[in-house]
Amino acid sequence: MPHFTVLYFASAKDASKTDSDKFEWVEGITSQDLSQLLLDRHPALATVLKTSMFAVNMEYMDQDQAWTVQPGDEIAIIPPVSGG
Amino acid sequence: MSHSTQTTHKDIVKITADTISLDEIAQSVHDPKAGAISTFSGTTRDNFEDREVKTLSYEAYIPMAEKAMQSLITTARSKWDDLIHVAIVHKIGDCPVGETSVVIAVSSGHRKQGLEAVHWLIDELKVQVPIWKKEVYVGHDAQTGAEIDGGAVWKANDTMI
Repeated sequence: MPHFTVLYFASAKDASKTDSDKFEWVEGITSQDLSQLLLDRHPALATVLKTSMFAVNMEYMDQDQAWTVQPGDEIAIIPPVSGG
Repeated sequence: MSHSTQTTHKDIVKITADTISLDEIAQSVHDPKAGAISTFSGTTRDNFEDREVKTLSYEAYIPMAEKAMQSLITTARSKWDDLIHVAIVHKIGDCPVGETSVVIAVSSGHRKQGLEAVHWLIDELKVQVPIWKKEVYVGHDAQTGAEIDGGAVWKANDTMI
């Protein structure tokens, strides 16, 4: 079965209590479906997801556009950054 | 336009758990053709809104952060054509108060473009690069004044993309 990976950092890692998960990939998972999948697995992510962005294969995704998950994708939850 | 010799432009991008040294990084962008080396060095503060910070630590999505830093350098080179070498180094892991957390160093033919590029690079880094800072606070027991756990917060920079 194809999979995709989700990475958690900072407050997302604290909420999920893990730094990564593997999910089974099926055709047509949208960005909205993904948020629901994440909440089903880690209800504590609800607050973090409201202020986070997604990066897919190390590229930020436009929050105003729908996109679909591809097999093998590495998807990161990016809470507000604070480097510097 | 022709040049008598070709200068190789170095892009240095690093995320490291080691202590970072402004001197070493400035040295790494030295070039005989440079009339200026412009630098920014960020250090960790001991307070936030009157709360005493005990320790700070940084976490990064390392491959994406390095890629984003490289991409900032590429964009900076398209905006300022006088840049010679560019270095961006960010620390991760524990960063005691007062220690350097980030250094940007740019060599350029003349100072103007180098200074502008450094300013732009640190502003963009703080908005775009996936690095996070956690502040751990000192608390004080209300009765005894003894030091107790004061909690910890993941910080957010002022602006998001």
